[in-house]
Amino acid sequence: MIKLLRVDHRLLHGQVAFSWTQFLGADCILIANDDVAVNELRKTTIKLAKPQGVKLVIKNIADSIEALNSGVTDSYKLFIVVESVADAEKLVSGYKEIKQVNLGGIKAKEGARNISKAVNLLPKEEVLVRKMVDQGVEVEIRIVPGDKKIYAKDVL
Amino acid sequence: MRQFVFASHGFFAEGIRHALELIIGKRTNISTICAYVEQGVELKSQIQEVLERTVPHELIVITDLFGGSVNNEFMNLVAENPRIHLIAGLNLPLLIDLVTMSDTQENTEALIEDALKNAKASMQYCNLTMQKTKAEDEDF
Repeated sequence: MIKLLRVDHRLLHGQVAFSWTQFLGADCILIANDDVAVNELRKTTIKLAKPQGVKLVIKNIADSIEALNSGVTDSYKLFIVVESVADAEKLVSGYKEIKQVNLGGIKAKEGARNISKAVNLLPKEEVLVRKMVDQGVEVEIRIVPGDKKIYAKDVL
Repeated sequence: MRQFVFASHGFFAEGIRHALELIIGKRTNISTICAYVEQGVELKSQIQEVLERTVPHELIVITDLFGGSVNNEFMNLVAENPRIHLIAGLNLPLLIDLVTMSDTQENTEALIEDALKNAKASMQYCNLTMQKTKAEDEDF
């Protein structure tokens, strides 16, 4: 079962490891990212940040979609973390069971608009967020679990 | 609801509260005592104010230094105030554990014992940890 898909440019770090995993009651974290899957240093850092008692799986985007569709993830309370809206949209398009996307942190960059809190979107990312919203996915902004949800459709 | 008090020499207590809330979000059951930062403000009266404000709740006090004056001041209060639990050694992993687990752990002694154990284990010489880590890749 998918508990949540979160977009966070820092991937697995304090907020995610401690607050979100516990809040969701997740027993497995999937880091879906093309670079981390082949970057041993980033991989090691992420493994060391893993909360105790939780399984951590790191896969590239294509393999993640394949695993999700194969059913091997069904027995887990799964918390997926990706680093960009583009990656989130690929997962949402590739696996129809994802009904909720949380935008946590997306770095400010050239040409990006601050839509709320720590979330900065490029025009092409706004298009992708709209696409997910139009597909019936709840896209919401929260930094930590206790925050009130801000719905992307209200701030785009 | 259990109340937490972070107490330190200088602004450490306020600073670590800020760091904690960045990670776990704002909490309403935390007070801070920053000792010796304002002339004419006595530590004793700062402590008294917090004690009065938090009656009758259980109080978990975390100070910055065992043997330091802030901790010593609270040591004097523990014997006569059974609602005070005193921990020395303010650090972020400890606070994250204590405050987040507090919502679900009824037993205060167990809460504190577990948090202390986890916090101690989280202090690491990272160079060595990375050398030693041959963590296998996990799969579903």
